[in-house]
Amino acid sequence: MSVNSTPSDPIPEYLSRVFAGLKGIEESQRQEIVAEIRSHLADRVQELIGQGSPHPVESALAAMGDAGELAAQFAQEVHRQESSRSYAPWVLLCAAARIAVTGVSGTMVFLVGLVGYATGFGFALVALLKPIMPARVGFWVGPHLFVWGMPGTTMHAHELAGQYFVPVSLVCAFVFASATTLVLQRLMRSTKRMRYILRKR
Amino acid sequence: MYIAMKTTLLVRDERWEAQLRKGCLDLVILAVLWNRRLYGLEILRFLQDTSGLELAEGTLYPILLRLKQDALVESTWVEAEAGHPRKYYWLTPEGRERAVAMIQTWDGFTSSISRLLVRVKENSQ
Repeated sequence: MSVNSTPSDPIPEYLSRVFAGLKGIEESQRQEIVAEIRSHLADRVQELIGQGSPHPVESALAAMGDAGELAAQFAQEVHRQESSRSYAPWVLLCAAARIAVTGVSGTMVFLVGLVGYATGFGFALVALLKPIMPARVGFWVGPHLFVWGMPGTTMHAHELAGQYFVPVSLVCAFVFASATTLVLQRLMRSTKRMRYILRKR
Repeated sequence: MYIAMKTTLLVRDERWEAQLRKGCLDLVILAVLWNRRLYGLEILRFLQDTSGLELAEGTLYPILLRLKQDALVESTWVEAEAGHPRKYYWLTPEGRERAVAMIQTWDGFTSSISRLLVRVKENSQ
């Protein structure tokens, strides 16, 4: 694939940086993204040469923007698509973590996922611990105590859930995990870090 | 102090305008590809020539990727006389449906805002 560039021009280096920034994306998709940028740069350089630009390569690269930023935009679109189709909490949370570094809305998405899954995991954990430590784990209510799980001390407190503790905990774990998954998928589709730029001439 | 306030207001204006334009990018590209097969640079030039709008070059391709992932556009590589292949895009039936739906939303939204702004414009003159 011709780039119409000389060995000394910075286009191959720019493309290498874009390629490196696409780490984690399927190899064939990485290559196709880079091929399209290469094709665009070749056209743009020719156009700038025709316009008499003194530095066509540099101008073409400047118009494309920073290679790392460009790769990050591509990667984000790919990861968002993958995660919006996935029901695996780990995949969703990893995608949310990647988005978290891109801004406030991304951070909020990650926090929603983290809190939701942590709560679901907590309910599942206490459901598993109940048969092992029946005297310690439960729904404890006392003068200064209101705990669903395993408090430090159960002095003066009463366990209220009894035999319903495990099934209720499991239902809560399922509800939190499911709701968090659905909310994350929805947020992933709607949260767009689009660095703008559509400007009026 | 006055200069600082003026600068802040200008920055806010730019942010608002950026957000406004950002929200229209998908519709803009779907509209450009209406009844046309174009490659990246052609999309940018068509947009400039017909509307006076300018889209940053690095912004276009991630949007095209998303539109393709959402099955709104399709693409293929075509060998060109320029000596390198170019990736051409066109709307899928889903893309055409989405464009029509977005245009209806756009028309409703802009006419509502315009009705609201008429009174503001009259009072500000």
